[in-house]
Amino acid sequence: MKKTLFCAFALTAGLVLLNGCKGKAVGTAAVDWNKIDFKGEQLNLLTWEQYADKTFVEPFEKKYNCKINATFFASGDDLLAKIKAGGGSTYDIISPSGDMAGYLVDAGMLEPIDTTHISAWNDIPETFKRNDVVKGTDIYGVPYLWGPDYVMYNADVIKKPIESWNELWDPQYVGRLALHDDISNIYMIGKMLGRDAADGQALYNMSDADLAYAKDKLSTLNKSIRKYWSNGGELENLFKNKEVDIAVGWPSTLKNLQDQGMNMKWCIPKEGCTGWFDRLMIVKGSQHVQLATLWIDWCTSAQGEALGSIATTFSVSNPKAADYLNADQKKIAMVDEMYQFFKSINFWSYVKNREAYNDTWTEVKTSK
Amino acid sequence: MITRQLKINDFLKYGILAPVVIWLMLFLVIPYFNLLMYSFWKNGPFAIEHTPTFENYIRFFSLKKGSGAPLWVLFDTFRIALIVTVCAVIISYPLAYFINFGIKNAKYKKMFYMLAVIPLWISYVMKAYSWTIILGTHGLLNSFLIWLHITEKPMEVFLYNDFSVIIAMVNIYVPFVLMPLYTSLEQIPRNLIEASEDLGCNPARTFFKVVFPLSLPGVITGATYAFTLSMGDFLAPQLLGGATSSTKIANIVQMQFGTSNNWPYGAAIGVVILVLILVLLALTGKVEKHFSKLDAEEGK
Amino acid sequence: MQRKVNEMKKNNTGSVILICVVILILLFLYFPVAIVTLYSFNKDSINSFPMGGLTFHWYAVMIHNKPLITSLVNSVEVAAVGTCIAIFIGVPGALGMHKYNFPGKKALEKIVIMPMMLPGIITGIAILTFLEMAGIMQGRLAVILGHSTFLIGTVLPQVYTRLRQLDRNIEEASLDLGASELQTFCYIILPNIKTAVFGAALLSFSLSMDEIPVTYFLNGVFTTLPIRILAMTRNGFTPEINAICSIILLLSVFAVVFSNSISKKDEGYAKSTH
Repeated sequence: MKKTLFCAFALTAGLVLLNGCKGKAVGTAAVDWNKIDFKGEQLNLLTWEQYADKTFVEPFEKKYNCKINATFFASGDDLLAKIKAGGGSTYDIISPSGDMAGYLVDAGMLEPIDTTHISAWNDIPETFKRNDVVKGTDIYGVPYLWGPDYVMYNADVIKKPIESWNELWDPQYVGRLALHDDISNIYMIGKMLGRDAADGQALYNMSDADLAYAKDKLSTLNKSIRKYWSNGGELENLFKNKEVDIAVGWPSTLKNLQDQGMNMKWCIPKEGCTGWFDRLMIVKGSQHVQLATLWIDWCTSAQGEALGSIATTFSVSNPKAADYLNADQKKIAMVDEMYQFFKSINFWSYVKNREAYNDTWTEVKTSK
Repeated sequence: MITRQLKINDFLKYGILAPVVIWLMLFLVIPYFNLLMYSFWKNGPFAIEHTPTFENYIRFFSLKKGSGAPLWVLFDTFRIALIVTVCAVIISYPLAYFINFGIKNAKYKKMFYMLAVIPLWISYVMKAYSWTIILGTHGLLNSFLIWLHITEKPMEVFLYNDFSVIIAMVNIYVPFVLMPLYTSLEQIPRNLIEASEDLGCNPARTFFKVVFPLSLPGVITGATYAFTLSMGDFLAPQLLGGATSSTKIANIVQMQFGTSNNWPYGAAIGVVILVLILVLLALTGKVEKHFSKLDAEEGK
Repeated sequence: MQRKVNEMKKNNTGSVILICVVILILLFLYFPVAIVTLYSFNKDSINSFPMGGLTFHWYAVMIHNKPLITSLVNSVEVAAVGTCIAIFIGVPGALGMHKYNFPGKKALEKIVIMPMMLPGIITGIAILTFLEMAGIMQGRLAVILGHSTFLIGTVLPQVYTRLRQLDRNIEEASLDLGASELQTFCYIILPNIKTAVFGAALLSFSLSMDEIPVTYFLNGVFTTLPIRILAMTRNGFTPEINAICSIILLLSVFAVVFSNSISKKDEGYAKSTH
């Protein structure tokens, strides 16, 4: 009896350990682009939490007989940390914003994308295709959805919109504000200083003096902050539990709160706001490059982007998506004023001196 | 025949000790030393550079950035850990004392003992999360105070600050203090207490002169547990802290292995915390030995 | 005489105060978790007072939460494998420490409990950096290795303590009568320590099931139950979290009561053989 138990345990332990060690078999067969049956293959997404909604996941899973497994990241840095931990054997598709895209290309962490198999490639306007994901003749990212970091507030409590970022420091908001736990708040200070009037990229290259100023300014905002939120769900909770009445956040959170009956409104202060443009990319070493390419093809197609926009209220990169949106949905996603809206946002770019920005942000959070 | 037996004995000795020694060397001793080595490396733009440098430690110990500097965070975490420890000891003691000396009936003693042990096994997240329900703006405490007409509006002062972090940590670490304290109180020979009472001391005097001094080793062990665990806790601050109270020293380490992506720097801070705790453990070990010796002498 | 009566009165007030304090302390320890359990039946998805009504809805949601169930399975797997490794390494280790003296024995005693004395984050980042250099990525294997390491620190000291309580004479008698070391171990020592081993195994299993700090740095995308619950509390909580926590609470209470009742029984046996 004891011997049997011992053998059973040893066997289990051995099997589990082997399972953990075993790498996945690499597929080297020639790619058949007509294939639509992937026999239950699993595609691993590492995306913002909004990009795995079942309205567009399920049609894809059905069509190609595969499974989508999504993990979420809360910020560009979080994404980087997760890719470094997991690599291509763990993740196939990632959806970084502009703050990380260029870095990932330079660091050689991506597979080039075969845009001949992305049906929407020629429909996406050149304005939306940035150079930071192009290296030589290789393209590493396909534009997907985009949006602003804007101010959202509970209109039952706050009666009029914010005109200037400076108003966030008003005494009436003490203890009622929430900001993203991310260095993007430093960009906001840069905007308030007018640093991007001449050169939009200046926000991502701020001088040490400006960073020191940003740290002091943001530290004085601490007393207004109830909590720094790290992902959309957390911000939703803060609003639902009436812990905060005003925040800087993403349209998807606003939509979720409105769906739950809260009277939420948004506004963009006169200095303008920053925003993010997400690209879909394939991680280097991915074991499912073909399926990943098909996923990008689906997501950026007119119908795919429409579904994405409906689920998140983010703006689309494929103008043909308008065909699948009704008037209300187009209005929320600013489809008709797409190009003006795009121009009004200063999109996140890669910060070379990331350590200094991270340090500054840590100090804001620890200053007393 | 005897030599063969001796050889088998040797084989047995090394055979049963080898697994634990090898495992601990491989997955404990070497990693701790490896952490030390890591802390002297540099974080390059795309990968870690294996060139030795002191820059991580210099960065950690530099005070030029003012109140937000990591060293101040260390002191602040120290302060919080101290408050948590003192509160945990003050709360644990009466309970441990009561179960040991206040209950004569063995069945009730066992029942109370289990009541004291169960919190140790309750999940960390459940305890931390529970305080967000109780202390929130529309949570239990506020609703209760309004219902009692003690306050008119919900008060925000209970959650997302040092207060909520401390309360949650005390709630979480009291069981860790309770166990060694209970054990040391249990080991006090009952005849000493009887002798003290026979000699005319009332329970209060007996407590201060006999029980408390003999329980000091347990107090010290428990306090050390609470202190070291609080120092390294990064979850409670994250869940219950607010703008400035959610980043303790362990959170700064956590960030280096996450979003800030600077493993060598994180390793350096980790080494600093490790050294501090080892020093503390050595000191409290000595103090405990000293009191244990006294106990042994007094017991005679 | 009067002094004695006064003292008795003081005793009684002292006792009453003590009892009140103890009740408050027990409330402090149990009230928060009781609230979580109570609110798992709350109709509203927001935790405010008073409750919106009673329902089992969240328990149903919880059962259908696939990522949650996956993380539960992962946790059980890690706990089981980790406990096995800890037993198969820790029990022989305890035996070796009990029987033999060797250089470094005191050091080993101290090292084995290091993961319990240090905050989990330190052990976590130490093992992480080491595994990274050894080429083992974050994931299931890393978590199992990490858990096994600190679980050995649970099993070995407990078994070692029990071994020291055993009567050496019986062991020596067995060897004198011609039994081999292995036979002595199987028939004499093992039965006497089996409840200590079982208790240590039970404790290890529950420690592993609730472990967060070490797992946090080693898991990558391999989610365990407490990590998943932690993510849920930050992602937008519903009383589903209350439901899962309550179930775990129930299991923990059961485990404590169960392990306590066995070990007390055996302690009595060990003491009576002296």
